[in-house]
Amino acid sequence: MTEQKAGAHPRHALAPLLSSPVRLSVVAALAPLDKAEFGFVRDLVEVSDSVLSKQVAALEEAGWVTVTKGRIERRPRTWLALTKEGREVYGRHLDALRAIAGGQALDTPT
Amino acid sequence: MSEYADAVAALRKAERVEGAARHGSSWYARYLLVFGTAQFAFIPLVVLWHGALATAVTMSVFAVMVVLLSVYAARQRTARRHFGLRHGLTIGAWTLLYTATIVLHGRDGWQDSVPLAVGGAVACALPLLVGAVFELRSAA
Repeated sequence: MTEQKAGAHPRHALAPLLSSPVRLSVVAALAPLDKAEFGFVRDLVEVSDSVLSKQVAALEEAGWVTVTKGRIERRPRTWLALTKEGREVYGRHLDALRAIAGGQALDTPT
Repeated sequence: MSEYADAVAALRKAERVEGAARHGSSWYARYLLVFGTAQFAFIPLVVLWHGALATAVTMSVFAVMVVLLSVYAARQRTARRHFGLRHGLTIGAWTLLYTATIVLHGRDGWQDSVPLAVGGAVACALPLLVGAVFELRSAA
């Protein structure tokens, strides 16, 4: 029996934090944008405020997402953005998924 | 589900969400379409209508349009990737062409020139409308 070489399979390039469908969706929603309002991502990913807050906190702790609070017309706004590291990790994660899927031609993030 | 099926499902999901995010950030195309289309009224007014009343009316209309578009932009929930650079280049190109139109208008032989009014309107609208088309294509 041969021992599989560590890291040879594309699954080793997957980011464990992005194995959660919600976290992957949050990062995918932010990938084509400079920034997005919390409510926009919540509506797009179709989760509650509390679920999104929890997932964003995990991504922020990993250094992949930044959270900025501000006000527009006296209304509080929370902005989410992918960091450079977050973009790189997401790109590598998608590459690994494509490799596992057999190089299916799906759009790459901009 | 197999690893293969999981990967395909995750890729499809990411692709779908990215597409929806792009579509949801296509407001800038509308901004550019409105600003670009307005050039066809604004530039002929500036070139062909003279006097204190003309200056007051055209500048007031322009100021109101800029304020409304700025408020519209500030209320949006997204900013497309590299938005600052794209907006800077588009508005920079418009500023150059608008300045060139005004400078030409001040020279002998170009005052009350219909060709300048039409050419200036087309030139000033061009970077805005090209930008709008680019934004719409990247949102599709």
